[in-house]
Amino acid sequence: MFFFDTTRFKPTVESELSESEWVVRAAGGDEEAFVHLAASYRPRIWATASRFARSRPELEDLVQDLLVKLWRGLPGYRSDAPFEHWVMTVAVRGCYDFLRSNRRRRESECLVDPADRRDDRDPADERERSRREAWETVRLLLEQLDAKDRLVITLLDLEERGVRETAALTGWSEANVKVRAHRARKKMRDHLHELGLEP
Amino acid sequence: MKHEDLSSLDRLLAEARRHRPFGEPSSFGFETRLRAALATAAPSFAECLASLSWRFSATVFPVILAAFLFLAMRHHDDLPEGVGGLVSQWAGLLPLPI
Repeated sequence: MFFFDTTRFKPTVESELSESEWVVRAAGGDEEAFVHLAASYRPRIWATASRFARSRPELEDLVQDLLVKLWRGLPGYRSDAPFEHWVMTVAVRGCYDFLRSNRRRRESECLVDPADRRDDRDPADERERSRREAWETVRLLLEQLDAKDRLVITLLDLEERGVRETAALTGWSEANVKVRAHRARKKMRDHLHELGLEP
Repeated sequence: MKHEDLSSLDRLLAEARRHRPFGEPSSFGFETRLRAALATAAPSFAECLASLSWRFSATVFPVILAAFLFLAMRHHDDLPEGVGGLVSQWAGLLPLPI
């Protein structure tokens, strides 16, 4: 009896597909192709979204929502822009929507996520502890900013993206990004003074 | 004084930049959760409207305008006068004993 296992060859063929071919498939409604793309872009989306979420479960939900937004928006994607840029634009704007819609709730929550503290694998690592403390302070300062200012500071100063890239991701003008960043940094410095945290 | 403030903020931002708040994403259950979310992710009416490009709107608007003008010219003798006439004409189309 003849038996031919097609599934053995399928991964080899699919792994040879270029990203643009995966994108075309996903845009045509191929869920498998989208899951493949989502798995490869998830770490980048996770890294950006982690600056806005306050706990790991919240971050997982946010990343999930962003992936669903990408899936819904894929039929409208035009290949004149790089796919990665389009993905990050959708992700950044989704994070902005998240910040705006959760602002009231965030104000009433505690600052430090307990899960983040527990995640400290090596308490003796002074450098990591110093970084985490710096992040907690920066997060405290960011909480004082409105959603737009927070987004600009996160993209420029924490993700080290340029003004032009930040403007492209947010859809705001470069002048607007620069002015917002300048004002936001001033607010952060003022708040640092109020807290007495500067040396 | 200002320089000190700026440098302390810069130092904080530089340290914070290197911290990964929640580590790396776990792949456990990722596909299952994503597939479940995609299965229920039907676009809403507002999202369907938002997905229409400005080119589509720019194409459709003159067509709708032309259709409106055509119908208006064709029925210009039948058109009601004033708001009262318009309301009574539309009310006549309703299946209600008004």
